[in-house]
Amino acid sequence: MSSSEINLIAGKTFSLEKRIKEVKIFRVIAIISLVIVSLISIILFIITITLPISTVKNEQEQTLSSISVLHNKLASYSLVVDRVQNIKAVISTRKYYGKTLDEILKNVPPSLAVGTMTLDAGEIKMIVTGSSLQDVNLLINNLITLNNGKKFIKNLIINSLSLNAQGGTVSLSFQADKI
Amino acid sequence: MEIKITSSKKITLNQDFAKAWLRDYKDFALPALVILGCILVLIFIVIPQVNQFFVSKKQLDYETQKLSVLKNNYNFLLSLDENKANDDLKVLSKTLPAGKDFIGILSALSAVSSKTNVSIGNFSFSLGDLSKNSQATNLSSPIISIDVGVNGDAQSIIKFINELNNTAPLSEVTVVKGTANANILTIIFHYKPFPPQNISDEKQVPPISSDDKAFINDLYSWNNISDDSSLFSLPDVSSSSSSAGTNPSPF
Repeated sequence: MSSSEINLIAGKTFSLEKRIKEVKIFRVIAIISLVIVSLISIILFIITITLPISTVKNEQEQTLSSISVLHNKLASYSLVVDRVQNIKAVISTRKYYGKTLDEILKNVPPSLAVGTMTLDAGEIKMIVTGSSLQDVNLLINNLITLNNGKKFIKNLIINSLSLNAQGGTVSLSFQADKI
Repeated sequence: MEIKITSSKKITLNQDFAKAWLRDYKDFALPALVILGCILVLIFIVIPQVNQFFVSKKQLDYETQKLSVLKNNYNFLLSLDENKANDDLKVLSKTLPAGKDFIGILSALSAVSSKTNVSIGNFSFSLGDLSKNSQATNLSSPIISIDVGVNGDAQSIIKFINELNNTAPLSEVTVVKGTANANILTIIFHYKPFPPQNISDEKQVPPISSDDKAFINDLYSWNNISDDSSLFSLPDVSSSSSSAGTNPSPF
């Protein structure tokens, strides 16, 4: 190979162009980065300082001062709410013995008299007396129906059924649990 | 053909080499510095700014919500009828007194007995330990227990018990013991001190439901409500000092 066939300039030019191109790309990247970072920074700054927090806080203070004038109303109202909640809580757990007793007595035939009636801790005990065994039987049947209905009483127990031959009276003692 | 290039000189990182390197890469220096600066600005300024933005946004949302609650409370209180609220409070305080309302209890028994034609005999109060402010039950509502001797037939007694359920102060018959015409009823009367007033304007004031309104209106028809003989007067809502515990007055 002769020296005239070796072209060193062509290679150098190609390398220089490549370098210039790389520098150019590098500069463009730098400028774009600068612009993007600056824009983001400025936009974020503007957005952050324009958030109306202080306006909202001022409005809150104005509303609070308006509410302070109505404090008596608020106090009365909160007491009303408290009383309603407490009264409802008591009423919801109250045992309505009256209804249960009323229902039992409705089923006692008129010829029978309630001798003793005890109601304590949800347990009802009664002694009923009369002269007719048929009416006592009717009462027992009525009580069984009432017990099976599971609305007013449960766990019905007939404690005793006694007959006083001298006085001609029949006495029925029973107990049940209030539902 | 194989070309083998060998150098007898050793390349060292000396000053000349650095100068040569800078000369070769000086065109890259400025853009590189700018990019580096941008990265630093991004890390130390932009990212904290983004965080700050989200913190501010969150704060704004919180404050806006708070303002909304305040405005709702204000509008609600503005529309609230103060006279009606005070009347309701009177009725409710009669129904569930803030303290031991003996006059209310006696007047309730008297009102119910006259309404049901049941005569009241002896009675005894059971107050429990008076050194304690309240006798707590499972409802955490203190009670006064009273044994009352009542005379009447079974139907009258039942009517008496039922009427007592709709009589102020709030009561409950817990024990019935009796014979044909003489009965002893154990009645518990509930009371509850007013809670300490820790009213926060920033909490949403819950409006009374229609059920509760109907419930309050129903209380107006209870026995012993219109009578003004209650031992306990209503708390003075005009003062705002709060007291804790079981003081009948919450202010």
